[in-house]
Amino acid sequence: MFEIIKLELKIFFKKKKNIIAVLAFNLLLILVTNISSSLEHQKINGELGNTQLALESIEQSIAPLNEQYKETKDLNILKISKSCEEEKKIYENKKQAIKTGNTFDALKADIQIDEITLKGIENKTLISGESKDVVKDRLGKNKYLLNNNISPIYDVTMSSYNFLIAMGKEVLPLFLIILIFLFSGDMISRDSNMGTYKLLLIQPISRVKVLYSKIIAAIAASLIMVLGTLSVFFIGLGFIKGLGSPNYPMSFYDISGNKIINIGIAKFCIYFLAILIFIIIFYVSLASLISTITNNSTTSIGVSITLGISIFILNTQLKLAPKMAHLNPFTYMNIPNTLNGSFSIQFDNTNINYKSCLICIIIFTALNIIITTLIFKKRDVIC
Amino acid sequence: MKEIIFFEIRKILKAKKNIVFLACLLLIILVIVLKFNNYNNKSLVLEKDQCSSEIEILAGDKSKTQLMNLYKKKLDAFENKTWRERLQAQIELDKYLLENNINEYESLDIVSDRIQKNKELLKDGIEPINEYYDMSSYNFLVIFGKNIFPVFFIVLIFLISSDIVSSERQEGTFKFMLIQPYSREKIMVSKIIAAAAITIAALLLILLFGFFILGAVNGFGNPLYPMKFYDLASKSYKFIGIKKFDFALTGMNFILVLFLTSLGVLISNVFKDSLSSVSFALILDVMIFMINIRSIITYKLMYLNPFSYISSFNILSGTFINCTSRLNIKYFFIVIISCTIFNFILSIVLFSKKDIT
Repeated sequence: MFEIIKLELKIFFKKKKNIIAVLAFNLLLILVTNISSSLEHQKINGELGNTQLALESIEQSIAPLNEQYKETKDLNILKISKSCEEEKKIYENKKQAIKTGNTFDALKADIQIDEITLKGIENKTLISGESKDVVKDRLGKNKYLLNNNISPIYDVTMSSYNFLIAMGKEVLPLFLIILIFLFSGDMISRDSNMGTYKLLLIQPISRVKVLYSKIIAAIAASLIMVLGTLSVFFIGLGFIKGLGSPNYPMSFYDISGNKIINIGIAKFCIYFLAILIFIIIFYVSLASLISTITNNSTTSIGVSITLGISIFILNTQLKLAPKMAHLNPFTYMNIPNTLNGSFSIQFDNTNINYKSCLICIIIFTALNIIITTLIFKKRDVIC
Repeated sequence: MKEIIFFEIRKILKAKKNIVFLACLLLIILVIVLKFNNYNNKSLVLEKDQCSSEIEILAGDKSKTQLMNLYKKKLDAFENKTWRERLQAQIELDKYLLENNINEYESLDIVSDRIQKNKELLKDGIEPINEYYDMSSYNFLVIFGKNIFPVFFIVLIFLISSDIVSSERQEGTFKFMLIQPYSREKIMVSKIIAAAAITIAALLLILLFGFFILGAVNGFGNPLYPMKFYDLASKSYKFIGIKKFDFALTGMNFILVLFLTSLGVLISNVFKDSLSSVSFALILDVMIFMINIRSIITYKLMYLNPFSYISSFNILSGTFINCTSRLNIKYFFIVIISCTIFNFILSIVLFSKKDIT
């Protein structure tokens, strides 16, 4: 059995389509990382522009207020004018902090601005574009960051830890299934296609062992390629952009308390990688099933990829059967959104969490392998 | 040459992967139509419920009394009044949101666009539809061009065209093909024509069937329904009737079909085995789907990339004009047609110089 696994691994690394797929995966990660870095610069510039606009708007309102006070000597107007002066100072500090790249000073200014906004909403003296809860949440998070000396990041910041989360949200939900199907979609059909099926079966080992060797080899190769690539980028970005703080707070859906709590980004990444491994194994088991059903490799790959894209669109965009979504293994394609509880809110289904994710994926993986074994055992040797 | 074209068409139609995907595509379209119909039927009720919950939230907030009254007016229009009064109430509410910079649920650009469109509808006396989900015939063509073509139809084009040459090598029929009394160029051109004919026929059939079946079930819709369109001459947004919009959209999609077929044929010439060529084409498709919009909003030179034009709906309605002003209909024709010609010429050259061994 060990020999077949070794042979299958050798074949895997020699196949042109696998090399193309790995190169494409790397290229995609480079492109997304590059685009994200550009977007981060745009966001910083946008924030600078917004701060400038807010500053100008406050400056424009101060002069008429002062003139009005001179005419009326109304103390309320003086009070408003003074609070505008204070806000102006805060925005000036923020502008300076953004320009010099001092993230903590910018954070302090943001906290002060949000405190004023929150007070205004609570006193009903301010009509805000944002709700009270949104401002409160942001304020809480920013205070935590400041107290723990953690630099704030954007969702497009490409420091190592955040890179993993960003890829888990943006690239892997669709590309992982395509990648694994490309790697393993011809696992069995390849032998039928190339006429090596008979040769394989005359080896002195049982059919089941042949099948399991192929599946184990495909799982090992897929894990090496996906986790290996992610590790290379993780280390590379660590050198270029820094790892980022491992304690950066991430929303996490806590099943025991049935509420969303904050956990450190490093811990979040560990959960993410653990689920990723199970999802890769599940995809390989599904690819092996499709490959056993179809005799032709091109058909097998075509069907697999079509299935991958269709499932992704139907599941994420159309949200078919939201009440049963926790029983569908493809619901968990976006791992960070499963962990942080976003899917639970989007599907309005509290059963969508990491626990049901693992149970569902393990059951479907076992089911795929059992069906594949049954079909493979009864397969006609002529094909 | 006619004979080779028919022979190639027969071969494409007999390939199992093409049949399987075509069946999948039809199934996906059916699911989308049913699901969208369902959403469309529920959309008015949902909007009404949303309105009621907004009123409940705003009830205790004195500073937002005016906003709450506008929501109440909208709810009243939903319950007792005609669509004209509903539109009027929506316009008043949107104007308030815009003037007071309230962007909690929607961006202010969307609100501003909605005001313009609703005014247009009132002016022309056209009943509004839910453009995202309405499955009347004219709007189906828009939804197909916007949601189905750029994602699913491209896969079909690539599956059909990307192994048209490589499969001959793999199956060992390459030599037999070349001993026919036709020049290599003629064989290649026949293959290109066959692939293009099949993909264009598939698109035409899907659109015609969809249009007439949905017309019989849900009605054709108003052909003058206003659609936002970027007018190149005046460099501004205008409204044109949905019928005209559909003609332009479908015409552009046919040109895109030719471009994507030419690309698929080129890929099939480059790779020796069909598995590699099909895999490459499909990966390319997924990558386009994943990073296209992000690269358009990030890089200024993306108007030179033919994949930036893959959604003709976005080009017609000028979605990315603010990011790259050249991402418009004029450049669509220049870039896509020149890339198509380039792909075809390169395919013919590669095929005529291909090693027979």
